[in-house]
Amino acid sequence: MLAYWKLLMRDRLMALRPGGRRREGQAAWKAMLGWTGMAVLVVLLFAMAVLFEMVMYDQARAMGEPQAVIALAFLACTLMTLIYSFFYVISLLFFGRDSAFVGALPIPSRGVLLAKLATVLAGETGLTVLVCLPLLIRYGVETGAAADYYVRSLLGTLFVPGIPVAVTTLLAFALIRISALWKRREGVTTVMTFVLVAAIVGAEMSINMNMDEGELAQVAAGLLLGSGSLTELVLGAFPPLQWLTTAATASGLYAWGQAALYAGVSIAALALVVALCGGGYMRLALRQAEIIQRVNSGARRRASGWRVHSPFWALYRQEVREVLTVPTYATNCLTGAVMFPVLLVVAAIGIGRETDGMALSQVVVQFVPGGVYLACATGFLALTCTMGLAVSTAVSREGARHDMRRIYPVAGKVQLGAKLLMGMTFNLASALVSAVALWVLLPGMWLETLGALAVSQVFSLLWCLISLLLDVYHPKLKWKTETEAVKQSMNAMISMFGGMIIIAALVGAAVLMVIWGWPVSAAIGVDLLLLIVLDAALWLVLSRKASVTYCLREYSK
Amino acid sequence: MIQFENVTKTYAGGKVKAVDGLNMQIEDGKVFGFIGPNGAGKTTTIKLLTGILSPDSGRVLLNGIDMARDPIAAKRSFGYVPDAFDMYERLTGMDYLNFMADLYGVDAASRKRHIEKYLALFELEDAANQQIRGYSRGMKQKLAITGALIHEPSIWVLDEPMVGLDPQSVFMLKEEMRRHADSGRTVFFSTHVLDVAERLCDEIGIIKQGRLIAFGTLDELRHGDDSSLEEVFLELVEKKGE
Repeated sequence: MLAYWKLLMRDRLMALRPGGRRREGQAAWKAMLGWTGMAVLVVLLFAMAVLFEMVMYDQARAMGEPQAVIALAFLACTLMTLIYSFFYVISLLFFGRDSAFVGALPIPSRGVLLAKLATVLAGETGLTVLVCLPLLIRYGVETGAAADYYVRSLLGTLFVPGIPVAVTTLLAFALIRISALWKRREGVTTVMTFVLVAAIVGAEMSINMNMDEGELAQVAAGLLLGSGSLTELVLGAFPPLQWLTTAATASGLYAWGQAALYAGVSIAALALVVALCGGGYMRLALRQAEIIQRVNSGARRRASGWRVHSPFWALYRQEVREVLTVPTYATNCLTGAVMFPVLLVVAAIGIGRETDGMALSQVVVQFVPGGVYLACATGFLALTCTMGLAVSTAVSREGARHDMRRIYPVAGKVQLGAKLLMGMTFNLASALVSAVALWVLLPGMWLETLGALAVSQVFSLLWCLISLLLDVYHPKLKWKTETEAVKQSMNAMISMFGGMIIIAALVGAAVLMVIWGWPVSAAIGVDLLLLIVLDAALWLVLSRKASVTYCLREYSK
Repeated sequence: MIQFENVTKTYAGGKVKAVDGLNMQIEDGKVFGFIGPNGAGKTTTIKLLTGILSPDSGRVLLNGIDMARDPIAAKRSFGYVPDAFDMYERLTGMDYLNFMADLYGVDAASRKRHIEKYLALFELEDAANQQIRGYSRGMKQKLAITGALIHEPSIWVLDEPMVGLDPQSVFMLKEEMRRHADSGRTVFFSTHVLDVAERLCDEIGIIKQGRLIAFGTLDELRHGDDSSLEEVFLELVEKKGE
């Protein structure tokens, strides 16, 4: 088992080396440059996170409760692990390609599960330590803590991911077992993943919406003292956080006892999961791996329809079908369609509470001018479009299949047009779901919402064009797993942030125009005109120069 | 008819010549077998022929159409079966065949006739509505062949088409290849099975290190004696390697 865990860890660590992600045929200096860029980005993000923590710490210290920030850091790490480790756990345990290989090795099922969970824990623990350590060091220095404080708080921090990983593992097992009841197992897994993540994000948002700045100190104090409504809520979900916070901020034997208690509970949670699920793990993983044989065995011989489509529609249908049928693609490309309506509803509930029960629609109609609402709704719906990765990875996802696409007797413009329409379809779906949520929440503003939906789709076209052009000129065709193709795509990241920057620029321009005395509708009109001009210009680039580049790109090179 | 006119393809900034000054013409009505050691340049040549790769110099013509000048028309003239089927594996076999028919603009009646014929020929009818990723290698190969020939192209380009096929399907495929050439059209295929090439091909080309070292009928390659293709091949490859 230890050898298998070492293999998994080595595989992960090798991918982090400068040459670990070097693509076949890629020059060493290019790989090094890419790695350096990523490293700089990670360091910058880390620096921003530390800066944010320090600002929070200063505020909490001013209120006389610096420990509150440490408690919140533990809480944040627990919640983040709960959300993000779910995808990692389920893909590592059930969607990996090594199930058959491992199944033939002389390792007990529980050993395989333990090794995989240890790999997840190693990564999550590293992140948790990075987030919490700066705060713990500052707290220790400022309170003049003894050496045992550092040892104890570090040890306690190492166990933070234990409980959330145990919970996500249980959820992953439950999901796979339940989905096994349906024939369309992958589809069910995808839908249930969305439901689960939406529920977690909704719950987290709900907690955040109930907290304003003035309540921060009260919440933190509540966490430490075990009183207050939110404390009860948080500790109701994760009671061990109280022990961990005390272990880090108290002193003496009592603090050590609390640390031991927290570590013990974490280990016990993981041990319980391994004991409960480990015995049948390999059987379940192998069943998941051979899902297609079981689905195929039930396929009936039937007369097929002979409906004829044009090459464009055949390609478009294939692009859409691919995103919908591959769980990794579906979960990543449809994020906007799921997350934003959830956020919207939770936010609306929060606003409803803060307006003393006054109907949200009444508040908006009474206090927000129609033009301003139109601008805000457009920005929001446009933002939903930037969340999907369907179009920004459309060429990269072809991978080795790109070679076969080169034999299609179809012009590059048509092939790229199908990808563009596919991206716009998913964006429209995302925006439409959010628009429906807006219609339900604000029935009085239905006309403005409709207008916002229309304008957002003009932006969607621009964003799709930019994303597709980026992927045409810099595709990542050499990948081994579907996850690699979408989740580790630099193009996806650039287009996502690029889209947000464009929205901010358009909103900024509109605000400036309003400040200069233009009516809101005129400012939106100028933005719209600008979008249409850019759409037309970029379409010309895509259908001419980029199509040639796409057709001439060689996977085999 | 297939023509290679002084075609060269290099990698690593020109340091590695995958195909080096290839000149070759395959007339209509011929089954052409392309053989060579591993890494000799067979698949690269086929990729140049099908437009998957672009040559550094020279040109490739299919039925007189220059692949570089009019790629769409050139691509309509052939059907290609790759050495490894790596396509949309979540589609059913029937979805894939309909997709290919749509790409080549095949009408409903023709596609029905063609699909039913080949599914019956390869005994794939029961698997047609199953997802491709559950297929064995041989089944994928049969599906790839059916899809490649769906628009009834005049040129068949097959990269090691017999790999993974059961003996019955190999026999059927060879019959179809012969019939296609006998009707005045062209079959270009690569293989490592020299017995098949010896019995099936009208012309044979041998490539080594990117260079065509022999081209002609089996009799021409034998130079009058009665040696087998295997002996000719080994002699040529070893001699040219010295």
